[in-house]
Amino acid sequence: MNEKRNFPLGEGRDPRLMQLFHESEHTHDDDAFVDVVMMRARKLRRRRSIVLLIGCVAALPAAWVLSAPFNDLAQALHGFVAQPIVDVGSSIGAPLIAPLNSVGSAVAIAALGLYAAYRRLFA
Amino acid sequence: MAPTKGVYARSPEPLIVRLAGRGDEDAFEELVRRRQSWVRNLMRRLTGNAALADDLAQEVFLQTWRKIRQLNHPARFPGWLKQTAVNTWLQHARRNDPLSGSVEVQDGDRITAGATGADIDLDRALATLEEPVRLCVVLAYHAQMSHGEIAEATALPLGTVKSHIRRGTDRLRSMLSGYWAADEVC
Repeated sequence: MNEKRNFPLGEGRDPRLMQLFHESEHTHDDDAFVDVVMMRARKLRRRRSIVLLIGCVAALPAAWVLSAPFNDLAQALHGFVAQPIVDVGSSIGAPLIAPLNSVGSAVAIAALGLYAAYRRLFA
Repeated sequence: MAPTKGVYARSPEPLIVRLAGRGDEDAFEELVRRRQSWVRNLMRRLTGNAALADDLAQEVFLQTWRKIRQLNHPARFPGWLKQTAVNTWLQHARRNDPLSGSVEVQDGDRITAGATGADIDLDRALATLEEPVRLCVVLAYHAQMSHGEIAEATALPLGTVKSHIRRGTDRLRSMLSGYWAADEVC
């Protein structure tokens, strides 16, 4: 990694210290270190595969158990958000104002207003 | 040696990095083989302890193995490995007293050339520096990184890096003055 630079001096480097650092370097080419790293790397990969497998196996019964309550919750939330704020009956204008006349649209408009205020105050 | 390993030994590094990023264990093994000297020497200079240095070097390569898939430009691997090594050292320094296991040298001690080996003398002198100063000095002299690169790798301000290197260099010069005196006598 150092071989390309070939002792760059400057930036206040002392050439004698540079030389000493260079002389203190050892060439490590032993297989034992590489073998240990590879053994740990393989173990890491095996552990990751096992965790993934356990996650998939655990996800199946979790999905089976939780799907019905999640579905009920989503339906209840949808019913609440679609609720009209003002009852306009079945007049001709009702479909026109329907997109704005709901709890969901009120919440969305309030969130946008808060975000705009936050941007103006803190951005 | 398996045939693929022989081929990898002759292959350019960016190609090996790309293959390792795709999960090729033989390619990664070749990377470890090529870069082990640099990483182990860097950690040795930072820790002053060969066994601890090898443990940290292993950690550097394991981090590399975990994240090499995220490296989009194989040509940037050397800089990326340097950053991984620095991060591993910083994590270790935060968790532990970075001077534990290193040789203690009192202020004012001078190291005489030839008493031990250049590497041991250098480690003893480096052990007298505070951790951030030592990190900056080792990155400047061993890794031969510029001040800007060190500032970026360590997240220290550029001025602090310069001052650490200046202070560390002065300290090492003073501690190792026996080496230069021996040279002058010869």
